[in-house]
Amino acid sequence: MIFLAGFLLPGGCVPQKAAEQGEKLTIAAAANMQFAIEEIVKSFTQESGIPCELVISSSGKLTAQISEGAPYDVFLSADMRYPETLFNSGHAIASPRVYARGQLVLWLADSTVTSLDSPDISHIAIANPGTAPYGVAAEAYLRRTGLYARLAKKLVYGESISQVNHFMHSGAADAGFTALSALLASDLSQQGSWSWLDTAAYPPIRQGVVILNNKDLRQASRAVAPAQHEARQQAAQQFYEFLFSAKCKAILEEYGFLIDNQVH
Amino acid sequence: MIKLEFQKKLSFPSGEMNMDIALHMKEGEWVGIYGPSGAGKTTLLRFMAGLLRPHNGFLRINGETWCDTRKRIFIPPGKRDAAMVFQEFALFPNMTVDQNLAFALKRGEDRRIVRELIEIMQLEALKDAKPDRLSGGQKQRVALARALVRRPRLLMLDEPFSALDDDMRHNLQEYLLQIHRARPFTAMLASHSLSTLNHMTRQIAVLSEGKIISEGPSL
Amino acid sequence: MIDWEPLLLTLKLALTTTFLLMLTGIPLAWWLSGSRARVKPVIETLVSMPLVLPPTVLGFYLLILLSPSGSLGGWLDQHLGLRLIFSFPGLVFASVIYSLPFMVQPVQSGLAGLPPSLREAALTLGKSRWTLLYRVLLPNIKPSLLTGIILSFAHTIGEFGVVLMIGGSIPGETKVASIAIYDEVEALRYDMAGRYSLILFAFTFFIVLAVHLINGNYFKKKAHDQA
Repeated sequence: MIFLAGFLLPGGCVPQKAAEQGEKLTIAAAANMQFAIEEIVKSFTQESGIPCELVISSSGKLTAQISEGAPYDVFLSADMRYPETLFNSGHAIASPRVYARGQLVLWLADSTVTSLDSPDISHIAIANPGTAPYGVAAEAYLRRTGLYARLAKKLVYGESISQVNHFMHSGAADAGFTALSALLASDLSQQGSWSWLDTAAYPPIRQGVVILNNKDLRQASRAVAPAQHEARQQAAQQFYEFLFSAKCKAILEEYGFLIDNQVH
Repeated sequence: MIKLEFQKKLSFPSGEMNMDIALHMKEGEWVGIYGPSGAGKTTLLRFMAGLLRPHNGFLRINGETWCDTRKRIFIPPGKRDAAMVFQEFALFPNMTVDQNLAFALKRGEDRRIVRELIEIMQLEALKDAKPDRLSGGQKQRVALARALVRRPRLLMLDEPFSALDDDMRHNLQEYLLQIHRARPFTAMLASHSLSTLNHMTRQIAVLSEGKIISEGPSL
Repeated sequence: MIDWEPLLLTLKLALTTTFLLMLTGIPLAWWLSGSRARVKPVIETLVSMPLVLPPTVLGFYLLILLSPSGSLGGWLDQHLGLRLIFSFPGLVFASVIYSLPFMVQPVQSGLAGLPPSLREAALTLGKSRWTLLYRVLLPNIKPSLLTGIILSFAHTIGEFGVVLMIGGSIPGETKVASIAIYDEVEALRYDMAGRYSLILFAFTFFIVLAVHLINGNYFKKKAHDQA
């Protein structure tokens, strides 16, 4: 399908003879999944032979695009609200299911700093609480621990976890609240220091996944290539199920996600 | 005594020209610069005004050095006691006639000279008009008046009568000679009209391709 | 209810930037219009860069430059206690660079189009170069000047990529209208995004319309017909 051509990002896939399976799957994933999803997709393709493309962006942007007909097959969000919206508007075939729980961590550029109140900390980066799930969690954490009032003026908002990490990495921000999954695989894990935060102090970051039904394309695709369309829907289902397999859970845990009833 | 020497190579679309001038003039006199277009008349006047830096050369007015390349002296145009009437008039389009003349005044200087010149040049009716409303001849008078506001020691006139009809030309020439008699200044008049130069000037230098090919008293 | 803060912030940024561009861009344009220095093409290219560079690239480099660990940012932090990153002054700094060609190019072009004899006449009448600029040159390039001012202003209103990179989206400080619209879209609040967008569109449309009307002389009195 021609539509796929516009939505390419470096993905960790082994390109297989696409003709065999019909089409490539397009997996849309939230920014904090960037590194984990590459490995998951690699593993999936090895196992199933189905090639995939990755689209990494913020949950909000992806939701907006999908609402307007972006032809992704599966959407892994950083929360439940965005995919829920897609289900309600008829863009997803079922209600979202939690595939992992994210962990919020605090990163400091200078490991000798003991408190965020320190004058050495001028800027604390968090994701935008209005739009990004990890930003919502970070702000909730600050409020519940009573830090918000004092630290609000130091806060700078990244439009996604990616930008938050960029601010920290470039030295623009002296500290930041980010996703453990995004931190572990990036250069940030080699600089500064980071610490877990009390999970009771912020609402659980339940990340949901939905299979998209591409309803705007369905009629056209069914008419043009019904067999290919069927194959893609089946492949999407296969990927969805892979997410809940033991192999995938192991990868997710490696990247700092919590699976269901697990505590650290 | 005004002494000058000036060498410069100039490039034009039509080719190159080597200016090589040496001239002596008496202060307070009218000197004519005669030659066809492209001979270098304007270039010479611009050198006198300080708008052109020579490769080699000097300009001394009665012992005062305005330019000397060997001693690295160059007095900028604003600091020379000289004024120029440009061939293309160069009136400021955003100012009225009155404002154009007033612009030439030094800070705090009396406007009297402006009023006098407007009167002499018969520009009263036009003094609040902007240059785009003036005819060629009117613009010429304004340009001349503006140059005279500063009562310069050295006045350069580049084809100042070209846009004028016979009557106006005659009148303007008489005004200039009259002003000059009252308060003498040195004037260099560039023109391709020999009759004008014979009427106005004492000494004529003939220019051709950047060099003075002959010089002498006028007729 | 509409939050006017981002719109007012955008207006403040555009006004401040345009004012600073007049102070810096006009002299630069003046120098460029008359210069024959060998370095001139390099300077002209640098001035044009914000026209062709993706704004995010500009923002990316500014982030590196201005962050406390960067060369300029570090110096400013150490010696002046000034942080340009995540601040309104930082946005102004970035906007001046971003909109520079919109001020410099029309003004340079206008000045270059003036007959050289105007400048020469003013100089021979003993005026300083600044008097020349202020009383002779600029008044005679009013259309170009107006174009430069209005386009710089309008361009800064639409600034997004650079602000996104170095602003930090701080309400009241760096969350300008373009960022607010972006946030509203991401939060799926399309009607609010639509309202902001419409206001910005209308505002910018009328500003650029004004440029065309003024340059097309639709407002000038037909003085030539009265004699």
